[in-house]
Amino acid sequence: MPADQGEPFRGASRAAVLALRPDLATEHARLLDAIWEHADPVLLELCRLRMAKLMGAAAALAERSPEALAAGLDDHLVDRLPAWPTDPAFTDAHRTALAFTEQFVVDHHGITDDHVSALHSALGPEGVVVLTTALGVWDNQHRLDNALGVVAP
Amino acid sequence: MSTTPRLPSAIDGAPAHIGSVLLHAPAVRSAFDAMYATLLGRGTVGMEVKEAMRLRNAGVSDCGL
Repeated sequence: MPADQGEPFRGASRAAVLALRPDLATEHARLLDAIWEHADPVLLELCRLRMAKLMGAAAALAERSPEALAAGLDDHLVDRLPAWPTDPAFTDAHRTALAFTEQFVVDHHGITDDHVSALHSALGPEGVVVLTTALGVWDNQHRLDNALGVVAP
Repeated sequence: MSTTPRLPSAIDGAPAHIGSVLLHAPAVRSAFDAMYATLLGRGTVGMEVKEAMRLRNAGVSDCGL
């Protein structure tokens, strides 16, 4: 990690920052593992990247989930993310989850019964809990990256 | 902000609250609880500082819980 005393984290990787609290880094990694294991990884990755874009999280935008890549995610679909409301490459489940994600980022108090009902129909109750937990974890991660000047995963 | 739970409890007969709803994804809930306990319970930042930040965050986010 850079030794600049004024901004000691700027230019660091997220892994290097989290390594300052190894026990916390371990539990954080276990939580992420549990999230990726319990929902469609392509859908999760689309939501993670959309959130990263809206929050201007450059480090997060540059990484790709190994679980999503193994499940068939390709960057052609990622490139089309800005057009998710109308692009036929996205499934109804993708669209429902991305709409929920955008509302979560822009104003979580604006999430309605209809948002949750649609998500419940698309993903089931486990999927709703997993995606909502994931959004909270990624929101925190993107803010940590931006606040501390993290430039790489 | 919703004043009624938007997901049912994962436990038959139990009311829907944060614990019973999160049990729809027990592995994720367990991992979250472990991470949160590590975050709050250990480290060099004092508990009174963490609690002050948590409450300020809840206020700013308008989280009644």
